[in-house]
Amino acid sequence: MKQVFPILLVSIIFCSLFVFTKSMIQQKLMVKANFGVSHSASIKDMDLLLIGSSMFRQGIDIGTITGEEQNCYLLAYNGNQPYFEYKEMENFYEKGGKVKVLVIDMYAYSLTSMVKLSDVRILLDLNIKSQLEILKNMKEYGDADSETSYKMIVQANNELFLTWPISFPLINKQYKNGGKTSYKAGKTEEALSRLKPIQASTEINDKQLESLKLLINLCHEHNTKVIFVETPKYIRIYNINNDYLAIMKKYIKVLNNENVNICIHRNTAEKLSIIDNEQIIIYDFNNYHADNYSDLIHLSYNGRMAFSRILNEMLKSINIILK
Amino acid sequence: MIPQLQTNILLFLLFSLTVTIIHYIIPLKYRLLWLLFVNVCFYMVSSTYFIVLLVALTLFSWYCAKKIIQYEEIRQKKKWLLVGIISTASILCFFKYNKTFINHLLVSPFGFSKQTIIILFPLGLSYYSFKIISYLCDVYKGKHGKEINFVTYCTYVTLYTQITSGPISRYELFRKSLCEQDLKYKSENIEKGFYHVILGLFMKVVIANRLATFVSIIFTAPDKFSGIALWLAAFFYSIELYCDFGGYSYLAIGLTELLGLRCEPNFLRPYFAYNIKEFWNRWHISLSTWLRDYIYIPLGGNRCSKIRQKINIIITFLVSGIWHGAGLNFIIWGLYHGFLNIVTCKQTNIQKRNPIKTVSKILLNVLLVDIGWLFFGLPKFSETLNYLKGMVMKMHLSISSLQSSILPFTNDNTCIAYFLTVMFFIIILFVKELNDEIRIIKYHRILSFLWQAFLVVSVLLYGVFGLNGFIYANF
Repeated sequence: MKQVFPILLVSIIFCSLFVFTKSMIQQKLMVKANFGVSHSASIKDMDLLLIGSSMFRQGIDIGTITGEEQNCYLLAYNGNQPYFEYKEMENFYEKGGKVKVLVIDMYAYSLTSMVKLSDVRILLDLNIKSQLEILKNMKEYGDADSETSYKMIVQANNELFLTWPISFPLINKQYKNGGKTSYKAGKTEEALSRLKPIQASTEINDKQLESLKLLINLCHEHNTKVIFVETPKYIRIYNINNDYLAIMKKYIKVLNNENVNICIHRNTAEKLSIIDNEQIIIYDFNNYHADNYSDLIHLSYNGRMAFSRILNEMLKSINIILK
Repeated sequence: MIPQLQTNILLFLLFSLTVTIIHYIIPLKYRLLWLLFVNVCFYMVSSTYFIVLLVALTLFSWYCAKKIIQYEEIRQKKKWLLVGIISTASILCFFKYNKTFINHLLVSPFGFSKQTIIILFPLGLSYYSFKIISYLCDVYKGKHGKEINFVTYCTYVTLYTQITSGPISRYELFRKSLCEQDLKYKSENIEKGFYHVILGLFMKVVIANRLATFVSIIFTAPDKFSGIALWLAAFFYSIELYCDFGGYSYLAIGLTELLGLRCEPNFLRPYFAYNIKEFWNRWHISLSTWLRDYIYIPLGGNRCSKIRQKINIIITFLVSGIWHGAGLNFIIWGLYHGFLNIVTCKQTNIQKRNPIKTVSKILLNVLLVDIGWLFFGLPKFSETLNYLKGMVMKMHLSISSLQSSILPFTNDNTCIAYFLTVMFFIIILFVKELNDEIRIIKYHRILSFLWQAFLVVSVLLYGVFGLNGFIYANF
C-alpha cells in the first residue's frame, strides 16, 4: 500500500498541471500554424474571412476566391455551429484580429443542432476559461455529460500535443490560409443514390439562434460586413430530407431582419419561392452532376473549384472590393 | 440490467473497488461468503436470465463431484465423471453452436421460416464450464482429497473477476491461496494487484481501444484500402488482440490479487516466442494448459507413436478452434496452429544463443501468428483469402498510400498524430516486455514508481473509455 497512494497522488497532480498548462502552450504554438483563429488573428488587415464547417473546408478553395493577391482566410471545423462560430469570432477579435468581410456557412441543420463539439481542434486556440464556458453551454443546450466533459477538458488534442514536433509540421503543410489543399474525388450517381438521409432535429435550437444574432452584432461592432452562403447540396437532399427546406425558410426569415447578405442556390430559392433582391443573391450551380459531390452535402475537388469561382463572382456582385 | 457492468470498464472498476473495500472491512470468517454473494450479484446484474444456468450447473457439478468421491469403484467414479463432463459440455455446445445447428439442421432441410432463431449466449459460459470440467477431472484423479467445501467450490466457479473472460484458473491454486493467504489483508497483495490493474488498463484503454476502430474499418471493407493499409491492419489487429485480452487478463489477475487471492499469469510476452510451440506456452496459458491436461494428455499426449502424437496435437488445436467459435474460420485457425505445431522442430539451446537467428525466428513466428489471426478476426474464410490476396497484390509503396493507410484512425489529417501516439505507446510496451524478457534493467524502486505513475498518467490522459467490451468475452 506504501507505493499505491503516492503513485496515484503524483499522477493526479501531474495530470492537473498538464491540463492547466496545455491550453497556454497550445495557443502560443498555434500562432505559427497555417490554420486556426490564433494565426488568422495575426494577419494584418484581412479582407475576407470565411467561417464554417466541413462544407466550407471541402467546398471552398481559398486561392480561387480572389486570386493570388488575396488576403483572406478560412476557419473551418467539422460540425461547426453558430455557437462555436460566435466563440471563434469573439476569440478572433480579442486577439486583435481585423477583417472587412465575414462569410458564414449557412447550413440548415447547424441551426437546429444541440450545442455539441464535433472538432476538438477548435479548443487549440482557446484558454481554459473559454473551454469551461463552452462546456457549460454544451451541458445546458446540448447533451454533454461527465464523459464529454472529461474528454474535452482533460483529453482533447493530447495526441497532437504528445507528437507535436513530428505531426504538427506534417498537418500544417496541408493547409494554406486555413484552407486545405487536398484532393477528394467525386462519387457516382449510383453511390450517391444509396446514401441515407441526414438525421437531424427540425426545431431551431435557442442557443444557436441567440449565437447567430450575437455573431452578427459582434461583427457589425467591429465594422465587419456579414454574408451568409449556402453551399450547393446534391439535388437528392431536397427529396429525401423533407425538413431541409423548412429549416432554410426559418433561417432566411431570421436573417431577413438583420443587415446581412444571403447567397442561396437556385433550387432552394425556387422551392421556397424566393426571388433576387438587395439582400438575397441566387446562384446557379450544377447540383445534378454527381462528380461535383463526395456525399449529399460535401463537394468533391471538382465541385470545390467550380463553386469557388461562382462564390468569387457573387462576392464581386455585392461590391466586395478585395486587394 | 444495470448498464453493461461487464463491458463498461469504469463501472466494473468502481464495482470492484467497492467490493474490495467492504471485503477488508468485514470479519475474516465471512469474507468467502461475501465473495460468493458478490459473484452471484455481479452475474445477476450482468446477465440476469442466465443466473439460473450458472447456479444449476454449479450445483449439479458439485453433486457429481460428491458422487465421484463417494464411490470407491472406478466404474462408478467414471460414470459420474462422464455425466458431469457430458452435461456441462452439452450445455456449452448448445449455446455456442445453436445458431449453426438451427440454420443448417432445422431451417434448410425442413423448410422452417428463414428467420434465424437467436438464442443469447450466457455470460462466461465458455470459461466457467471449463473450470467445472477441470475440477471434476481433478477430483476423479484424487487431487483434492475426500473433502470438498461447497462454498469454496461455488466461489471458485463463479468468481466475478474471472467469469467474463478468464483466466481459466485451477481449483488447486484457488484452494491453496485460500489456505496460504486466507483472504487476509497484505500490503504486497495490494501493491501487486494495483500494478496488474493499471497495466491491464493501460494495455486495454490506451492501446487496444485506440486500434479497434482502425482495424474494424479496414476489416469491414478491405477492398477499399491499399496493401499497406491491409498490412497495417493485420499488424495492429495482432497488437489489439494481445492488448485487449492480455490487458483484461492483467485486470482480472490484479483484481483477484486485491482480494487476497493468487492467480497465475495468462500471458508471458507471447510475441517474443521463437516458434509456435513456444508461443502456446506464452499465449492464453490457462486455456493452453487446460487443453494439454484435459484433451491432449488423456488422448495419449506424447506417450504414443509419432503419428498418433501428431493426431493428438491436431485434435487438441481443433478443439481450441471450436471453443473460440462455430465458424469455419475458427476451425481453420485451430487446424492452422495444429499444423504449425506439428512441423515445428523443438528449439535447441545452440540456436537459442545465436541472437540473429533468434530474432529472425521471432519475426517469422510473429508473421505466422499474424496470418492466423486474420482467420480469427475476419468473419468468413473467403474474406480472409481475399484479404491475404490483397496484402500481396495491392502493395504499392508511396507517400500518398502511406498517408491514406493511416487515415481511418480519424478520417482527417489528425490521423498522423493519432497514429504516432499509438505507435509511441506500442513501442513503450515493447521496450517494457523486452526488458522483462532479457532483463537489461534490474528492478529499482524508483524506476518501478515512475513506470507505474507513467501507466496511470497514460490511462488518464490517453485512455479511450466508453461502452467497449472485451474481445474474448464473446467466446
